[in-house]
Parts: sequence; structure tokens; C-alpha cells
Amino acid sequence: MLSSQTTWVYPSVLAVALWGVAAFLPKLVLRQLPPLHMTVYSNFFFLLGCVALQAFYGFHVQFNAHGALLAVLVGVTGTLAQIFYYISLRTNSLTYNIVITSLYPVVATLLAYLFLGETLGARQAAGVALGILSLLLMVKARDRKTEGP
Amino acid sequence: MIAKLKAHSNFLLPLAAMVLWGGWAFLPKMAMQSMQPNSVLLYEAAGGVAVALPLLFFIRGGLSRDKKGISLVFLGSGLSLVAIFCYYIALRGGPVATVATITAMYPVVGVALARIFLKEKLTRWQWLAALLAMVSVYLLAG
Repeated sequence: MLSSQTTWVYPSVLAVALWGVAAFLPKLVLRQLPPLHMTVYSNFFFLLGCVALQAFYGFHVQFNAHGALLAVLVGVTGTLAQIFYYISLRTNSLTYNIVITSLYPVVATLLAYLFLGETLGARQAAGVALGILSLLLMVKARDRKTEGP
Repeated sequence: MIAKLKAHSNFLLPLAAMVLWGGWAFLPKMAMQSMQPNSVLLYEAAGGVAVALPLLFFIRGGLSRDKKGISLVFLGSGLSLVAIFCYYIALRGGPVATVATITAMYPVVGVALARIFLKEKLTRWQWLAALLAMVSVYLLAG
């Protein structure tokens, strides 16, 4: 019998490590490939991976027009974000980019509040406020660092 | 106008990425109301390719065939896919709030790798900003 740690803690920690490495790798790839080339290759490989995953599920692909359209939009927004991230990585440090883009849950929370009617409790409101403060601080500190002779 | 945007590109580019990833994180919740995660993932990949393919027209001289670069992109894409899969497995077996909070800490790994391998350094204010960002994500995920 699997312990609870095996069923969710280990996969969670593994996801953290893998996402961390996946966020780091583009900075290395930029030494070899320009941003647009990276975007084309990564999306092609991601599609291949997804097709392989479908094989694992026996190619049981569901279709719902509304859901599929939204899912395609997920891909569109994610890829556009990827392009901006890669272009920004050419001139900005990885740390600066990771910290700013890691704040995307602030936007997701606000969108869920606006379009899904999800409640924004004190905890979430504090999270949004801290996120905006962190963003301003990161940019201000960077500007201060790059100013001067 | 364009000159002004270019002057602020250091800030606007990661900000645009953040806003778009906000949409990317938000939309699956609506898509998964009518389809299973594996199906959503496939349509997501199709959407990504729909944006990536037209880029080929903007790339002069064809796609680069640098083997090292392509191998690293392949590795990154594979890691991302396995990470998403691990996330779904964790969500299935554990409490959503805790799983989301743990996985939201991935920037710590990225920042540590940048420090170790790229020798990137942060000022005291940037460390504070990074810490506040982590606390913010922790509060939002919980």
C-alpha cells in the first residue's frame, strides 16, 4: 500500500524541481538559439509529448467545442508569454525574469475574481498586494542598480 | 511611441509574460469543466503550435539546426510535460491547497540554479522583492 507521501508529496516536490530546471534552461539555450527558434522547437516538442501522453491514455481524446476553444487559448497565451519571456531573457538576468513572471498567480487570482466570481478573501487580497509590491521593488531595485556611471 | 516602449522593454516584456501566464493559469480551470486534463493538454499544445508555426515566416534563413540548443529545448519541453503530469498526480492524491502551495515554490529552484551556474547576484532590495514574491504566491495558493 502506498503511503500518502508517495501519492502526492513526492510528485509535488518533483514538479517543483522539474519546473525550476525548465525555467533555468532557456537562459542556456539562448546561447545557441534565438528566442523565436526556441519557441518553435519547444512547442513542437511539447505537442509530440502530448501525443505520447494520449497514447498512454489510449487516445481517448474528448471534444467539447467550448472547452477545446478555451484549451487552444491556453496554448496561445502560454506561447505568447513564452516569446516575451525568452526575448526578455536576452537582456535581463534569469533571477529578475523568474521573480517577476512567478507572480502570474496574482493575475490568475484577479481574473478568477472578475470572470468566475471567486471570492477574494483577506489572505488572497494580501497576496495580490504583496505581489504588486514585490514587482515594484524588483523593478525599482534593478533600475537603481543599472543607473550611474 | 515605439521608442518609448523599447526604452521600457526591460520591464514590459517580463510583465507581459506574467499577464499572459496569468491567463494561461486561469483558462484551464474553465476548459476542464467540460474535458479531462489529458484532452485539455492536447488542445493546449495545438494552440501553442498555432502560434509557433506562423513564426517560421518571420525567421530568416530557416530554423537553426544547432544540436546542443535543440537538445536543451527538447529536455526543457520534456521536463515541463513531466512536471505537469506530476502536478496532476499530486492533485489527485493530495489536498489542492497544499499541492498548489508546494509547486508554486519552483522559482526558488530557478533562482538557486541562476546563482550557482550563472553566478547571478541580487541586491538586498531584490532579495526582499524575491522573498515578498514567494510570500505572495504562498498566500494566493493557500
